[in-house]
Amino acid sequence: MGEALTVDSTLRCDVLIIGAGGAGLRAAAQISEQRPGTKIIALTKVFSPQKSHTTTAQGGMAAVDPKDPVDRSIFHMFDTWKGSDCSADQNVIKKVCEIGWEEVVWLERHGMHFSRTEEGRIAKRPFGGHMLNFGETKALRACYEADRTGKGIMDAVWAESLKYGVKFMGQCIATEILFKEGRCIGAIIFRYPEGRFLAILAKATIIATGGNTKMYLVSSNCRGNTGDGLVLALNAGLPVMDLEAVQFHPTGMVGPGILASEALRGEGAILRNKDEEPFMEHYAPTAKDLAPRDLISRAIIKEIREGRGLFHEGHDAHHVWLDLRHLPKEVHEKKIQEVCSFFKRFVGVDPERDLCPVTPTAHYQMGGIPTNEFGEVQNDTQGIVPGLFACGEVAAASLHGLNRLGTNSLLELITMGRITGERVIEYLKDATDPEEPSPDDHHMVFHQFSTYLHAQGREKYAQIRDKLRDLMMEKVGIFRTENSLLEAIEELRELKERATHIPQGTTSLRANQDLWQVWELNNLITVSMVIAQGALSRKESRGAHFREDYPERRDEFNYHTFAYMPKFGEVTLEKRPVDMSMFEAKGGHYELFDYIKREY
Amino acid sequence: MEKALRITKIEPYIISLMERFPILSYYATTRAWPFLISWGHRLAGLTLVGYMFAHIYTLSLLSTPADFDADMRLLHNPVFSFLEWALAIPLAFHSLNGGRLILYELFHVREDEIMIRWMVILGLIYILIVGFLSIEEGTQVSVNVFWSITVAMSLIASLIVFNKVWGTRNSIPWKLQRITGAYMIPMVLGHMLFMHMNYLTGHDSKTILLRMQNPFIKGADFVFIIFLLFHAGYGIFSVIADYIRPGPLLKSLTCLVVIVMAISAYYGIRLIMAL
Amino acid sequence: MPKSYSITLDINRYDPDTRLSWIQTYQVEASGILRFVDVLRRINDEQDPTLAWSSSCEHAQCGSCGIILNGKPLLSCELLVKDAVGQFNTHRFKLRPLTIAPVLRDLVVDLEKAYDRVHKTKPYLIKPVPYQPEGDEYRISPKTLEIYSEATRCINCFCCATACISGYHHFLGPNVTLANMVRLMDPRERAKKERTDILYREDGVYRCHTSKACSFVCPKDIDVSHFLALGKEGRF
Ligand SMILES: Cc1cc2nc3c(=O)[nH]c(=O)nc-3n(C[C@H](O)[C@H](O)[C@H](O)COP(=O)(O)OP(=O)(O)OC[C@H]3O[C@@H](n4cnc5c(N)ncnc54)[C@H](O)[C@@H]3O)c2cc1C
Ligand code: HEM
Ligand code: HEM
Ligand code: SF4
Ligand code: F3S
Ligand code: FES
Repeated sequence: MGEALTVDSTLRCDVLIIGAGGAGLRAAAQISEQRPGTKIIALTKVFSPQKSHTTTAQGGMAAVDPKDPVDRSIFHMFDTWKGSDCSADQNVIKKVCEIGWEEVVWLERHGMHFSRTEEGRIAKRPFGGHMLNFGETKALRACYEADRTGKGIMDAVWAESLKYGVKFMGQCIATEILFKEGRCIGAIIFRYPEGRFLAILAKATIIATGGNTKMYLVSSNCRGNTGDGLVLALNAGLPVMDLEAVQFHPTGMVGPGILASEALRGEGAILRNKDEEPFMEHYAPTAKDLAPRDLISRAIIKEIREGRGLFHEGHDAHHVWLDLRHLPKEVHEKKIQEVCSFFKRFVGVDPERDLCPVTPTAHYQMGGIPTNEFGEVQNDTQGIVPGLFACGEVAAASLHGLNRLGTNSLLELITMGRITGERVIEYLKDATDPEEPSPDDHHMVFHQFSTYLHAQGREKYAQIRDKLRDLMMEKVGIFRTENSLLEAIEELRELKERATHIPQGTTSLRANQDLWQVWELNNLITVSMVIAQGALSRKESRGAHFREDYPERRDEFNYHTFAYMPKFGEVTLEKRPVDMSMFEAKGGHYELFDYIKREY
Repeated sequence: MEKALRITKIEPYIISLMERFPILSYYATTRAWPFLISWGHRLAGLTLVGYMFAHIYTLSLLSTPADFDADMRLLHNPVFSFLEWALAIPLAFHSLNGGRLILYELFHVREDEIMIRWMVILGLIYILIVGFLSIEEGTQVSVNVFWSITVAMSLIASLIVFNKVWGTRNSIPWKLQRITGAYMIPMVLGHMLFMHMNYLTGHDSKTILLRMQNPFIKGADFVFIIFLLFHAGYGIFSVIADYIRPGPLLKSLTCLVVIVMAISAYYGIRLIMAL
Repeated sequence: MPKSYSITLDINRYDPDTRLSWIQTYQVEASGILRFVDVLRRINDEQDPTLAWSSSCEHAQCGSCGIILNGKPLLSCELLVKDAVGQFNTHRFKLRPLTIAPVLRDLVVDLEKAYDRVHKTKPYLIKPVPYQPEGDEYRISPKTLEIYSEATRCINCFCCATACISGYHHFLGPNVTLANMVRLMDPRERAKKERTDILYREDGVYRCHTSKACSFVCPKDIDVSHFLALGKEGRF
C-alpha cells in the first residue's frame, strides 16, 4: 500500500451522530420525531447500535415521579449536588432532574420493558446516594428493567431511531472532525471492513462516543471505550473538562472487572472483609453499603491495605466479599438474574450459596467534552462551536461534577440526548449545507494512519497496552499523590514515543484489527495524559478524585478544569466556574445547594 | 450431554449406543437431540414419500389383477418382507414425532422430554407388533369394525387439531398439513397394521378387490389418499423452501410438486373409482 | 494456583485481500479461568497480531463475539478454558466464524448485514396504544410481563440462527422471529395484523421445524423454540 491515503467518497446528511449509543440515539429519535424527514446518520464502532456499551448498564435509571407520595425531585437534585461533592452545574441538575420522569415515560411509551409493581406501574429500587428528605433514608428512585436496564434503554432508542429511518453505519470509526471557518461540518470516518475513508458532511454533528476507562487494568468498560470522542475534540484544539474525575465502581468481579451492579446492594447485598465483617458500617454509618461509589471504593482499598482483604490466586488480585446469600430466591431469579449468571460463569461461584469476590473497577468518566446546558460544545470557558454538539458519557454538561451517583448516568444520557436533539432542531432551522472541504486540505488522520502502517521498530502493541493499564491503575487510580502523578506523566510520554514503533503485521487496510487497536491505544495514552495532568493540578480531594497528599476538599478548587492539548503532552488548563444558579436563586432549601459537607 | 434425555434407565443406554456414531454425538452435543430428531423426521418423511409413489404405482396395477399378483409374487421373498416391516420404523417415528410436534406447537405441551420418551416407547411397541404380525400370519379381524374404529379415531384427531388451528392466522396449507397429519396418525398406523394382519389382506388381488367393493372402505381410502398427498406435497414444498429463497424458482418448484401430486391423485382415485 | 491447560486451537482464517482461507493451528498455555476472548487476545499478543476476532462488552451482554467452537455456536467471551475442556472433553478446539453472514476476516463476521433481518421485523412498537390521559406509563401487570420478558433478553448474537436446522439464508431466523413475538405479546402494540403478516411470511415462522437447537445454544438461556411455537399456536 504505497499510495497516499485519501477520502474515498463523501456522504451528506443533516445530522451526523458520532456514537450511536444511548445518548446519541435518544437525540436522533428526538430529532426525527420532532422534525420528520431529517437525514440522520448514526455511526458506531460496533456492528449495530444495539451492541453499544449502554446495553451493558445494569442497575437502573433515576427519576422522580412528580406524583410520588414521598419522593420529590428537589431531593434528587440535592443528592446529585451532594454526590458530586459540590462540583456539578446546578442549572443542569435542575433541568435533568425535572424532566427525568417524563423521559422514563417516554422510554416506556416507546417500548422499553421496565419491571413492574403489582399495580402494573414502573418498579423502582434504591441506589447508592439516593435518599429521601435530604439524606435521611434511602429512596426508591431507580426505575429498572431487572438487571438489564441499559439494554432496555438501548433497545428502545435503537428501535425508535430505526422506526424513523435513521441510517446506521456500523463498524465505522470517526477519526477526525472537520471544520470550516470555525463551524463543524462533519467528520472523516474509517470503514473498518473495507478499510476506506469517507467524509460525512453534516449541518450538525453530535459527539456521543461514550466512556473511556479502558486505560485501567481493571475496568468495567467495553473494548471500544478508548476515549475516541475526547481525542477528536482535543485534536481539533477544543478543551476537555474534569477528566481527572474517573469513577471506580466498588464491586467489579475479581479478574476481568465485570460489573456487579450496585443494584445488588440496592436489593440488600452486603460487603464483607476477610473476617466476614460488614465493614461499610464504619465508613458510612447511615448509608452503609449504599454510600456513594467513591467512598466505598476507597473503603475497600483501605480494608485491603490494612490487611483485611483477601487474595485471589487465580486472578492474582486482592478483593473483598460481596454477600448475596441472604437474599430471597426470588430476587436471585428475577431481579438480578443476569448478574448472578455472570458470577457463576466468570468467577465460578454461586451467589446463592457462596460469597462473591469483588474489587473496585474503573467504571465511568465524569468529565468530558464541556457543553452548556443545551449540549452545545464549548470552545473555551464562554464560547460555543457552531454545529458541534455532545451528549452522553463523553460530554460533561456537567450533571455529575467530580462524582456521579449510580443510575444518574442513564438519566443523563436520555435527558441530555433529548435536550441536545431539541437544540439541534433549533440549529437546523437556519443552518446551511456545508461546503465540500477543498481537496488540498490537510487531514491529520491520514498522517496518523500512514505512520502506524509504516512504523518501524520492535515495540509490541500488547506490551505498551499492558504497561499503560498497570501504570494508570497504580499511579492515577483511586489514590493519587503528586509523586505518582509526576511519574505517570513521564512514563506516558515514554509510552507515546514507544507507540510510534509498533510494526504492523500487514499493511492491508481491510478489517485490520491491529491497525485500529494501535489507533485506539494512542487515544488512550492521550486521554491518560490529560487525566494525569488534571489530577496533578487539582491539589485537593473531591468526589472520585482523591489525593493522598491533599485528602480534604478545598474551596479554592471550586471550579471545573478545562484542559487543552493540541499537541501531545502540552497541556494548558483553564477554570470554569461551577454553576450555582439554584443556590443563587434563593428558592426553597437553597442553603442546601451551597458548598455543603459531604457525609453519609 | 446436560440437556439430553435422562429419565429412565434405558435412555442413558440408548444414548451411549448412539454416541458410538460420531456424527450423531457431534450434533447431539452441539445442537441437542431434538435437532437430530428433526432431521430424522425429515428423512423419514421423505422415505415415506418415496414409498408412497411406489405404492400408488403398484396399486394401480390392480386394474389388471394378474399383473398385480405377478408383481406381488415377485416381491414375496424374505428380503422384501423384511423391508416392508422395516418401513414401520420411519412410519412409526414420523407419525408419532409428528404428533409430538403438533402437541408442542399447537397444544402448548412443553414436557418435551416426556413426549420424546413416549414417542420412543410407543414406536417400539408398534414396530414390534407389526413385526410379530408379519411372522404370525393369519390373524383375523372384522374389516368393517377395524376400519370404523380407525376412521373414527382419525376423524376425532383431525377435528381436535382443526378446532385448535383453524382460527389462527397461519397459512391454510400449513394448517391443513397439521390437520391431515393428525388424521393420519390412526389412519396410516392402522393401515399398516391391518395390511400385516394377514399376508393376503395386503398382497392378494382377490382379497383386496373384494374389500374395496365396500363403499365405506372406498370412502376411507379416498380421504386417506387425498390427505396423504396433500400432506406429502406440502412436506416436500416445506423442505424445498428451506433451501430456496421465496421467488420465481420456489414458485416453479411448488407448481411442479402440485402437478406430481395431482397426477398421483389421479391414479390413486382412478383405482378407487374403477373398482 | 488454578490449573493451567495446554490447548490447541485450529482457527479458520480468511484474508479478504487475497481471498484465501486456510486453517491455522495455535498452541496456547492458558490458565483455566481465562475466557476464549482472553485466549485470542493472548494469541494476538504473543504469536500473531494479524488474527482477527471480534468482541465488545466481553461479558455476554452485547452478542458481538459469537463463534462456532467444536461445532457449537457460542459466545467466546463467556466460555472459560476449563469449562470448554470439561464440556467438549478435549484440549483441541476448532474455531470457525458464524455462518449467518459473510466473513470479513478470520473469525469476524459482518453482523451488520445479519442485522438487516432484525430490522425487517420492526423491533419497535409499530403502533403503540395511545398515551394515558394522565400522561403516566401504560400499566402492565407483572404477570403479563412475565410471559414475554424472558424473550426481551435476546442480545442478537445469532448463535441460534447459526444452529438452526433451517439455516439462515431462507429464514428470518429464530432471534428475529423472537423479537417479533415480543411485540406480539406486548400489550402496548396495536399493529397486531402487521406483526402477524411478518410472522407468517414465507421466510417467517414456517421455516422453523421445532428442532430446538436455538433453545439449546442460546447463551441467554432463552427458550426460543417455546416462543416460536407460541407464534404458530397463534395465541397472543
Ligand atoms: C457495566 C456498566 C454498568 C452501568 N450501569 C449503569 C447503571 O445502572 N445506571 C446508570 O445510570 N449508568 C450505568 N452505567 C453507565 C452508563 O451505562 C454509561 O455511562 C452510558 O451507557 C454511556 O452511554 P453513551 O450513550 O454515552 O455511550 P455508549 O453507549 O458507550 O455509546 C457510544 C457509542 O459510540 C460509538 N463510538 C465510540 N467511539 C467511536 C468512534 N470513534 N467513531 C464512531 N463511533 C464511536 C460506540 O461504538 C458506541 O456505539 C454503567 C456502565 C457500565 C460500564
Ligand atoms: C402419520 C401421521 C403423520 C403426522 C402426524 C405427520 C406430521 C407431520 C408434521 C407435523 C410435519 C411438519 C414438520 C415440520 O414442518 O416441522 C410433517 C412433515 C412432513 N411429513 Fe408428515 N406426518 C404424518 C405422516 C406422513 C406421511 C405418511 C408422509 C409421507 C408420505 C409424510 C411426509 C412428510 C414430509 C415429507 C414432511 C416434510 C418434512 C420436513 O419439513 O422436514 N408425513 N409431518
Ligand atoms: C407395507 C405395508 C403396506 C401394505 C401391504 C399396503 C397395502 C395397501 C393396499 C392393499 C391398499 C389397497 C386399498 C385397501 O386395501 O384399502 C393400500 C392402499 C393405500 N395405501 Fe397402503 N400399504 C402399506 C403401507 C402404506 C403406507 C406406509 C402408506 C403411506 C405412505 C400407504 C398408503 C396407502 C394409500 C394412500 C392407499 C390408498 C390408495 C388408493 O386409494 O389409490 N400404505 N395399501
Ligand atoms: S435468542 Fe439467544 S442465541 Fe439467539 S440471538 Fe438471542 S441471545 Fe443469541
Ligand atoms: S433451531 Fe430452528 S427450527 Fe425452530 S425451534 Fe429453533 S428455530
Ligand atoms: S463480547 Fe459482548 S457478548 Fe461477548
